Amino acid sequence: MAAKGKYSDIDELFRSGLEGFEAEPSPLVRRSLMRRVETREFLRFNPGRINIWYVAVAAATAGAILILSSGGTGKGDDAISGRAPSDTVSITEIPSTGIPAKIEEPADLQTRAGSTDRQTTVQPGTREESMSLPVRQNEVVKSKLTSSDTLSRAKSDTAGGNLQQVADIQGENLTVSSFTISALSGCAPLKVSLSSTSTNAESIQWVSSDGRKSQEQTIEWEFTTPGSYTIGLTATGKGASSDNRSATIIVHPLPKARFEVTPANREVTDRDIILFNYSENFLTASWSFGDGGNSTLNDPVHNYKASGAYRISLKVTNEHGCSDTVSKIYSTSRGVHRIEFPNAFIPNKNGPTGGYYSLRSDEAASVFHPEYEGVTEYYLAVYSRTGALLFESRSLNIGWDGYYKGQLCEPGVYIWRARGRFVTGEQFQKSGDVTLLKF
Amino acid sequence: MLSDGEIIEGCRKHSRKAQQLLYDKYSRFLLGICLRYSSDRAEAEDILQDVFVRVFFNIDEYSGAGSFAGWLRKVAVNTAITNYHRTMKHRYHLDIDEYKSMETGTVSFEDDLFTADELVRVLNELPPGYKMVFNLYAVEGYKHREIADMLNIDVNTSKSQYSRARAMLRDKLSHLRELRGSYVADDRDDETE
Repeated sequence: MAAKGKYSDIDELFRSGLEGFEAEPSPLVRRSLMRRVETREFLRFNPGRINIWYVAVAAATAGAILILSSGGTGKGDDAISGRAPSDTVSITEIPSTGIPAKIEEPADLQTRAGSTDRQTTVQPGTREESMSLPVRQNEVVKSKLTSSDTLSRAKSDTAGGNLQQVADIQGENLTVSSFTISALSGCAPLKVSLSSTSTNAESIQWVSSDGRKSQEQTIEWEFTTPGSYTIGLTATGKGASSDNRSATIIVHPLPKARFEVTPANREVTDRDIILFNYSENFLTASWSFGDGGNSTLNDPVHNYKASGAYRISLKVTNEHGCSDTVSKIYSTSRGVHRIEFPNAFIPNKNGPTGGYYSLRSDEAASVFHPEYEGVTEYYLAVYSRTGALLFESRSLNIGWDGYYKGQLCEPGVYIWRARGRFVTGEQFQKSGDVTLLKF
Repeated sequence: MLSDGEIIEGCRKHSRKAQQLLYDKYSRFLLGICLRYSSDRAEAEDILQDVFVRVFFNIDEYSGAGSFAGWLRKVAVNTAITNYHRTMKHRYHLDIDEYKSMETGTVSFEDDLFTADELVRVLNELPPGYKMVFNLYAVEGYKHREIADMLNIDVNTSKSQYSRARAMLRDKLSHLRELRGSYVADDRDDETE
């Protein structure tokens, strides 16, 4: 049966393709359907269909009712009289004490009889499991651990396990695996010292989830790759008795410290340097500038007061407390000083700018200003050729924009005079002319 | 072979024999419908049982006016819808917005040859809601308003589910066609991949 022909429409394809689609139901369907129909028919009690079944069922029902009613009263008598006998006591007692009691009690007795010395290692009151033996050697491990324990037990504390151990105790050959671990978590690379404190062990086997193995009593393993590792210790004693414990350690990743300084190792004196933190995977940053200064800002600004080579170090720390440090030598020398003036500039035609400039950005030279380093005091005046004062400034941040009282001055030559003091304390006084150009 | 009329008359009288005959005659046809509305064969057979129970006990509702097969079909569809409502809460539901696929171009299936089995299989791959709407609208020929009433959904939901079902079916059929490899992949440019 196939759909054939031209279908531009998917609806049509399905409509005609499924036209007359049939499927053979499994024989089971018919049987269970007929059973359902019969049940329903029966319950509907169609008077036209009374047959032997109805009669039989009616008779059976009546009989059942009779038996039940007589039997019911009989049982009732039993129940009343049966309350007193002591047989029932044992039945009611079980739920009250519970199954743990049944298991614990003999175990308790056995342990006390078999090995009293072990009890000394158990700290009273540290028990957490309600359904365990009083002497669980994993508590020894626990009590010896000082850090916050994430000790996991490979062994499940089932009743079955307990019973197995009871058997061992009886033979006084209980092999118990336990060990001490120097750290359960730490930053990569994490070095952990492991020491077996297993009892009744003839041989021990250490394994780690990254495939290391050892049979030494005391070992030291280093985990360099961040992640979670499970260290297991299997102790095997006489016969087939063996026990194992495991602990999970977490190796935290490290952040990566990196920074850059602007301006880079240039001999600057009075200007601030900016430190950019390019570290990865970190939470907090701690800077040390090498001159006693510190900062916890991400991108701090610093100013060295004296020339010299400083060790700038950056320590970054992540959320696990793991840190990384990087340092650079940054040399700066004080005492370098200079001031130079250009001899031409092109003012902005569109209006006064106020004369603000930056040594780094004023490439268009629309403001008349000096190039300088190491200047502490500064005064600049600009005159016309007739001697009229057009502009004066005491700030190194403001130069002449070529305007006078809001009017753009004529192109031509102007006279300037400057004086001030360098960082060395040396005074300077300069004068010259500048040509105002117009494009 | 008894005629429909005789079978119906027998069923009205709850004749077991007539019921068996009805089952023999229509179970294949009805299962075909049930399969379209269910996710697998077991579910379809469960629905089929329900359909027959309904038919046997509500045979009086058939007035005798229209075609008997048509009436059976309607009972089957209604039973399937009831089943859909009942099992809806057990099924994984996709939000409409999860499906951003739109009808892309007009891929024509002119010369293709899909068997009904393939069509049913493709249909069964649709999310349950889409399948219901598409079945009812495209195959059964109900209006969106009627479908909305039957499925307790909004008319617009019916419309959008229908159009998305179409888009998905189109994709699936194209894919099927490529899989079969018996047709030239004329509308695919392999070099772009």
